[in-house]
Amino acid sequence: MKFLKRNIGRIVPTALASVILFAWFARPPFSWTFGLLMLVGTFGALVTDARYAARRIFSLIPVLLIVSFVVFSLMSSLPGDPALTILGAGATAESIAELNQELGFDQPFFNRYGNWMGDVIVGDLGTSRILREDVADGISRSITPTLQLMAYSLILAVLIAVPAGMYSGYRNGTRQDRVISYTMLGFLAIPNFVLALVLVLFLAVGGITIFGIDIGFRWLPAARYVPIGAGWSDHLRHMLLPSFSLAMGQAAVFMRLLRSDMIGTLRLPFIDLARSKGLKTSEILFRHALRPSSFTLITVMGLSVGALIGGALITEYVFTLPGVGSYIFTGIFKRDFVAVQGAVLVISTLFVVVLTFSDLVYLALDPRLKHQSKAA
Amino acid sequence: MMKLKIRRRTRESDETIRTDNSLGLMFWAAVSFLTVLVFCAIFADVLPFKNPNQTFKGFNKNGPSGSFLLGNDGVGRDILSRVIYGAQTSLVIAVVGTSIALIIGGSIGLAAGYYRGKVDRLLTVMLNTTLIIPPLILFISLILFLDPEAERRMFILIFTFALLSIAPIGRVVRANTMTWSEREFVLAAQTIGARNGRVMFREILPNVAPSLISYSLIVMATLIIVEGAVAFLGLSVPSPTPTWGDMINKGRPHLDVAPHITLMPALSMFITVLSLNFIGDKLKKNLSRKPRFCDA
Amino acid sequence: MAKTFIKTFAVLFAFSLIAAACGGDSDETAIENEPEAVVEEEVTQVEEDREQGDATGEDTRDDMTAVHGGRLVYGVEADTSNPFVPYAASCAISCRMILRTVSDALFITGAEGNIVPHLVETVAPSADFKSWTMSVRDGIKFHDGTPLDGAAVAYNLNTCRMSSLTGPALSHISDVTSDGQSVTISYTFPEALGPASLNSSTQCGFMLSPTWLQTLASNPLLNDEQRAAAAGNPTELVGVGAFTFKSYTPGNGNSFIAARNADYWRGENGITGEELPYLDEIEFVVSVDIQGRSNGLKGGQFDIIHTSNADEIKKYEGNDNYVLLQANDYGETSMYMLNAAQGTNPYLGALRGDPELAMDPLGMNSVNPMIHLSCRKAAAHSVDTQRLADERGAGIVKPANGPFPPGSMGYLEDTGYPKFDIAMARTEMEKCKIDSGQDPVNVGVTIGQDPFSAETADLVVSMMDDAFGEDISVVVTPIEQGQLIGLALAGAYHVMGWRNFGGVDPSELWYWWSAYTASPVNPTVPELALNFGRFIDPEMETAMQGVRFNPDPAVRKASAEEVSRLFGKNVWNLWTTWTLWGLISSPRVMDITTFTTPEGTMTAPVVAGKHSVQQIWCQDGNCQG
Repeated sequence: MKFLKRNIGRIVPTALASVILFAWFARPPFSWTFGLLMLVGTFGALVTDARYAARRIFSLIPVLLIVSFVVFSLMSSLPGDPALTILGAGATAESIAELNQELGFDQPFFNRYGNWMGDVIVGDLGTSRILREDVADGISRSITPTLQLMAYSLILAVLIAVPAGMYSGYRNGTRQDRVISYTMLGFLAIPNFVLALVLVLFLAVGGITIFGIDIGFRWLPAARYVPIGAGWSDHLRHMLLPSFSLAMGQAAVFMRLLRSDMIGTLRLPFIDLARSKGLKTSEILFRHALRPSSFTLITVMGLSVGALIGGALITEYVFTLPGVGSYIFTGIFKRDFVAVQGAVLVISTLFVVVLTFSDLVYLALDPRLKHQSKAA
Repeated sequence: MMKLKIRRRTRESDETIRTDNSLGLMFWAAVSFLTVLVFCAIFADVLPFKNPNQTFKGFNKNGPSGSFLLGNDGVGRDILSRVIYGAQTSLVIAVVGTSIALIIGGSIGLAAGYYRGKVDRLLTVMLNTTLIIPPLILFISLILFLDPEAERRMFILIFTFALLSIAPIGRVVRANTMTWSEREFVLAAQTIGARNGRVMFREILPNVAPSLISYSLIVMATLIIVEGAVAFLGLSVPSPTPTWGDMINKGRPHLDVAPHITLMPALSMFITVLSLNFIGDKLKKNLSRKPRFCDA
Repeated sequence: MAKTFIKTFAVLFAFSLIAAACGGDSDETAIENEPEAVVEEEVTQVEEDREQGDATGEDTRDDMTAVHGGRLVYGVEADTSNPFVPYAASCAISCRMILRTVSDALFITGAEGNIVPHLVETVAPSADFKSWTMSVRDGIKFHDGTPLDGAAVAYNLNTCRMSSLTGPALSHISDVTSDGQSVTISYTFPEALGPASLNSSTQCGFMLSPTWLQTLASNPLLNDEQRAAAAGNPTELVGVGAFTFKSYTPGNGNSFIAARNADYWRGENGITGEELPYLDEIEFVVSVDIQGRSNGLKGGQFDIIHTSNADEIKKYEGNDNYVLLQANDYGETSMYMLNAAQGTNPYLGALRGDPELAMDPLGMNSVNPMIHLSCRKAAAHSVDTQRLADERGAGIVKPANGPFPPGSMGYLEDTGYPKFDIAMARTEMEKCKIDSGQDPVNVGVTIGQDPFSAETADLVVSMMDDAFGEDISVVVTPIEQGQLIGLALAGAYHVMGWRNFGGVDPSELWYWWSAYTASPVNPTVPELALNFGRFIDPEMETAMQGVRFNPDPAVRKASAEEVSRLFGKNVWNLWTTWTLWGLISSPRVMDITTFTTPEGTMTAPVVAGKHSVQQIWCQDGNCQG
């Protein structure tokens, strides 16, 4: 009994996650989502105290409920009749009424929401009438390219932003700093679809011809998705341009934040202390200055996942990638409510998990907050 | 090492050596650009610009020329006057959207970061809720839901942009507030019995402000670009009202034959965003001060 | 983005079912307006000279013999809603290409706008033209081994007749009976075309295995018990075509893949002794964005793409690295629909037992100036369609003057449609101000949300401003595509940007223009009308009867021309341009459009952008090179 009481923070989330995981196990998007949730929980329990992690995970439940409700009510109040979209111009008033009845649209709003949530909890996202496909199947199929695109973009953005931001913050005010800062600022000012367009023009389709001279290359593919199964190199070649065009905007944001925090950190006394101990510059930067400088960056990195999803929507469109962005976008315009609700819910869940994760990382990095969270 | 020489200085010398209080040529160039742009945008109707919606026959996709300084777009309209009129839309959306978000998000973030505990949890749930539906998807649904016939699209855009900027700003403020409220001078203020409001606004806010300004300028710049994304999906302020995003998007198909149609508004957007950020950086540098350890 | 415009019409295409042309009557125009094929290849200087002497460029390929092998990747513009069974699919161009791949239609459009039997061997009408009997070729088998016989054809037709989507357009069929290889179709009225309307431009003309259709839950012929047991997938098509279904994944960037059918009825194991098809496999990849599609072609990810974006087509003109084929045969017409709902509709009223059926019971359309002929004429006179074609259609699109593009039956050089003339426009505007009692005259234009439609509308509005100045006030409202069709069906608009009326024979278009399909405007209780403009035109009724029911080709042609003239005279729509389709391919892809029937009759190369795929082959049996 005492053991239970002491470890309540570890036991409850684990039990809860196991139950949900068990119920949803057969469905790929959910098992991933909740696998992630458990990872985050474990991580949280390890780096902070378990009670705090448990509380964070519990606080996700009302958030997700609100999200599901918002999504559901938004989608069902969009003007336009889904039955009309399904039946097309051959629709008659009777056939529309009949189909609406079949789809359950004649029922009161809360009944529909209840039914939907009831199904969702046992892992059934419903069947899309427009695509004639199980929504969970559709999402698990289309989320893979999007997750890959986002992951590669984040990695690229961090790979570009961290060295650039650190160097630029360290050499604050010098010409090198200015060159780097303005270059990144430039990327911030270029919409990702313009960047994508220019990249494709010059690196994929052979560029333009000026005075008979071809400027540009045909190095990389301009469209389509190749799964990892078909070969890593081919897969990465196809993902390079989309990831890069998506990453640069984020890299600029990251770099600027890191730079400004770096400047602040380098002014703090402990850096002077480290210097006075005779540590090497690189050691000071990476071992002492990077961690306290990256708090804002980590918060914003978590947030940027949302921006990446939005950007992915457009990037997928430009590069003909079969991702979840185009799945949702098509769904909205075709009034494919079931598909959109399901996809947005899954994405939101993933997003929330990432945000929680970034908060926990934040806590782990700043021990002062850990102490504070225990006290609270 | 050479590089280290610059870094090796006491905190006192930090202010005197590093903070070059002269703002520099670039700063004034950026300010002048924005001033001219805002002036032109406000007085566009009075100034001798061509009607932005008039299509000139035989001029479609023409490059820059004497009578059309920035060239003509896909249906022969004057790009210069469309860029100016487009600035009205893009700037209003970005500035108003960010300001609203700044006030609401800033207050929420400050309160959450300062009070912690239950307040924090409640406010975080509020922020997270608007945050976790992917923004562009929420945009599309909100725009279609609130304004299917584009009757008051401008208002709706500002509203949704503000709504969706609250959470990011709030989170940054919260995170910063949490760090600063750990600091000794805050504790000191609390110890001597300062009221919470005073501590928040007099002790913490000034320290949060520099990174807040920097971040709001990024948000503002992002909003200008997000307007482009919304225009890309055909959901921005309806045609023929020009917006930069809409102009870029409509020039997209002609990028290889008439690049200026995309380039001119893109360049305006680029320079505006650059200027905003530049000014923000400089201001931040000049406004920022060391944390006050002993507040007299 | 212009492509989203087309996506809307996916739904409309679905309805353009009865397509056909009566043989031989339009040969003059048909020959004159052969598809303007511009075919270019990487050739040496010598060959280039030779090619310039030959407009079609087909000759440069004659010395090359088709070889087997290769995998063709085809970039298509849209995914399909409710794929792919004819009775349920909203079947636009991409879906039609897929149907042409996995199956064949009973008839096929000939090179001269005539209809040629394909799966069918013989066809003959009864004396009163109210019943037609055809016999299907013997020995054809579906991919699942089911033989194609009369019963199979009847089953296919009945699924379409009983479907809420395709049923209305087949409502003129009263009965379908079969016996052995023969099928007899009975009609309620004498039909001039008969079953020839079931050709490759009609989704219900494509035959699918009845055994497989019975496994589909959506099949309207199944009873509840059978439906509960049905476990088939409507995307896994089982047809008689040259390729068999391999896989399908919905969504942008995903694809439909079909593999060579070794037992194709025109293949080595077939009944005609031919060796079709040549390709091993064909993949249709959905790529909604035209820039993405075009980039995919240039980057080598696609071997062929289609588009109706004139700007993009124009870019490939004179590009030696690609083969461009452009055609506007039987294509759609772009226009601004005008809502003419006013007064009463005695035609529909007679059916409903209310001869005084009011077209605008709530007075919603009474403020629309376009109910007055003078206003319609003023608007038509003020729009410079040639300029629209030049600036919005890259100069390669032709300005439209009626519903029928050149080459179609009913096309006229001069339909009497008001020409661009600002003086005339102003004169009519003065009358319009009096007729409508408005000054300025308020016009509300509803358009799709894509940039292309928006910019076109900007240009049109700017032309009207130039012509009328203060006399007119135009408000343009962009509406999201999902809703646009709903507003058109319910009549809740004044002027609407639209594209429609594609088809081989005018008789398939009757329901767009008939008073019987013009329901009153009433957005609260929508009565859906296919005559979106809701005009009641007795002369049009007479003319369309001539087109539909008269077996004499000369009379039909004259009637179709009368339809053109009536549109010109009454200005029921503001015409803008005729849609131009472009097929752009890698030079390795050969014989994209040259398809003949087993008897050697040439078929129409391109019908509104669609073409056959059996005959396509790639150099060295490799499409990617």
